[in-house]
Amino acid sequence: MLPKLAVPANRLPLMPDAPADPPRSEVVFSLQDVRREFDDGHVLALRGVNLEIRAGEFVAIIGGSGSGKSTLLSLLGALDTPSSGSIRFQGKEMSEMPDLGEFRARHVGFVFQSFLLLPTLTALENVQVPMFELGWSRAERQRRAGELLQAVGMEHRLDHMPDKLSGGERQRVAIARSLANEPDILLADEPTGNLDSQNSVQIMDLLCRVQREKNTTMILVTHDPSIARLADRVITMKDGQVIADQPADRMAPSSAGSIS
Amino acid sequence: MTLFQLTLKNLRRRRTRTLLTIMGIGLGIGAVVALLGLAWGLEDSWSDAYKARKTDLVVRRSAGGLIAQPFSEEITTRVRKVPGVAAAAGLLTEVLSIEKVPMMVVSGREWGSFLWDTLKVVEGRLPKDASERGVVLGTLAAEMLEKKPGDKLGLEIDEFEVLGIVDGGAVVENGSVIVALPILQEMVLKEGDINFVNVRLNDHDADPHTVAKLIEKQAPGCRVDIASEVLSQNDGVKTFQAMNWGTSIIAILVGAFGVMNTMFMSVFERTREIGILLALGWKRSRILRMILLESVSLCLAAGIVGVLAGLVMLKILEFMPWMQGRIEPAVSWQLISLALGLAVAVGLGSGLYPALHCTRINPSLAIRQL
Ligand SMILES: Nc1ncnc2c1ncn2[C@@H]1O[C@H](COP(=O)(O)OP(=O)(O)OP(=O)(O)O)[C@@H](O)[C@H]1O
Ligand SMILES: [Mg+2]
Repeated sequence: MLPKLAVPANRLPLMPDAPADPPRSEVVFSLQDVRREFDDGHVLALRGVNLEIRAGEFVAIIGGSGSGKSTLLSLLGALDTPSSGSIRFQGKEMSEMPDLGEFRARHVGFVFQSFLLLPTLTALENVQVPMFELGWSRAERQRRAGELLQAVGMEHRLDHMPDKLSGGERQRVAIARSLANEPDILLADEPTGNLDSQNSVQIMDLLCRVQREKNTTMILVTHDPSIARLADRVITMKDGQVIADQPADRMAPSSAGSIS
Repeated sequence: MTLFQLTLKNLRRRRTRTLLTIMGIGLGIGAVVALLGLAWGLEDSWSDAYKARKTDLVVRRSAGGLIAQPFSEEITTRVRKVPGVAAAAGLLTEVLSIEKVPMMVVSGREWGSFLWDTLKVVEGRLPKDASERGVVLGTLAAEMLEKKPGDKLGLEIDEFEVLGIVDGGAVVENGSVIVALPILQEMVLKEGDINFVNVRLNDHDADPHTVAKLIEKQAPGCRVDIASEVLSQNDGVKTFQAMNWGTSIIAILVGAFGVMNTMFMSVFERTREIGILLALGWKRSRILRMILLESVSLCLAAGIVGVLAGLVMLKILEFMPWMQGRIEPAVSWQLISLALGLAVAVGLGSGLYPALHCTRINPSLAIRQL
């Protein structure tokens, strides 16, 4: 079971003037003029992104389709490398890291819109996949995977194959999997994009709970303003650039959805 | 769950393709098992025959391929005088078509030599002397020719009486028609000629290699081999072995490309999954290991299939009329481990390229794939 941690003081819901000078945590990601081109420069997915993300922050990225949100998330998770510019993780230049696999294995958990579970593996096995690089014994992997699935409320589906699970169930397994390596950074690309509103609420509850309990840095891409409002901070992208970066409670009210 | 279990799951998801690939490379390995089983069997059969004849050294002409060239029977007398030689026996060996059997070894043996002592009479008798116009048959030869003592046997243009049936203690011996030397010499018009001298050494003091050297000095134009190595030293046999290897290597190569093709298809259609594994923190070296493990498991399964198929082929060959009495296939652990080792090597070889391809996958692009 995930331990129940106290809610950090700066996240208490009714705290007045929360953004006004809270004690600032260390910078995890710092991006300078990050560009990503595709097709020999014909497609400019990111055109000069500058950002700082601090430990324990919950950042939502919103923006129109094709604005570069997924591309940015891939770069942060070291699934891809920028065409130019610098990304530093905890002050270290990522392009100089000898092994990005090691970085992903130690620090990052991913949740995707289309779940991306491995089709030949059961729920329990899927959750064990990220643990292979961590030097845990087979029994240890199995035990931890069971605990994680229990924490996401999937203990009754351990041996189910992904195609025998509902969308919401698949995303729960995927979340359990994203936590398997005890990441300090959680990257979620439209995790509720394929779910109905009831499942969306449950999945967001789960992600927010995990983020708070472990004080994980979470960066979440979404189209849904009501989900973005759950974050500490909302980054708006357009045409490969950041056009707004503000605390969630300054966001313009929206009629879309009524989540949380 | 272990990496190996993951591997098996991957192989199981395209059962038909996996099975067909296993059949492909399995056939290649089966061919190796069958051909090597034959080749080694040929060697073993002859070395058994020499053992049964209690022959230590074999003298023959240094020129010539599979069929030994004739030389004068005088040589036997000279060989006898070489120190360390206990006994020497001249032989004329021919391969003839006899009645309905296309190829039979006919062995003309110097009368009174030790080569007659190792024959155990099963039925009938041996010839009375060197001039009696009769033959004895090895047990297998008698079966193949369907003869018993008292029957007539047509040999070239003559007819001979079957005097007896003998057990020579080895397949090659039992598959032969045995006659006294002068009779065969006359029949094939090679009077005064032999093509082998079988030499028995003094038990204690003779080193075979030294004696072989001494004999070679006394018999110009001849070479002397240790009996157990005669076959492997024979140029004709060497050619036969080379052809076997050639055929086997082609079969293996065909199978290996099949494996490579399968592994490539398998990793192409799993590009996205491999991207997911990379995203989940798998090192490229682990992906490499996973693909190689798949390829090696595939080939090892094929190795087992191939060994079984090869053994079945050998069993079938053993009962073919033209095989009987000539070669007893040699099936040894050595052969089986060679086949399985070959399977593993093919697995590593054909898996390497697809596996290296996987390590170059960009996870972000792979995950985007539909
Ligand atoms: N591999 C690629 N090759 C070419 N163009 C690409 C590639 N990946 C992304 N792009 C382009 O880069 C731009 C940004 O893509 P990205 O996937 O980051 O958008 P997004 O903001 O995530 O959109 P959505 O909300 O629809 O998921 C798009 O115009 C897309 O077509
Ligand atoms: Mg996207």
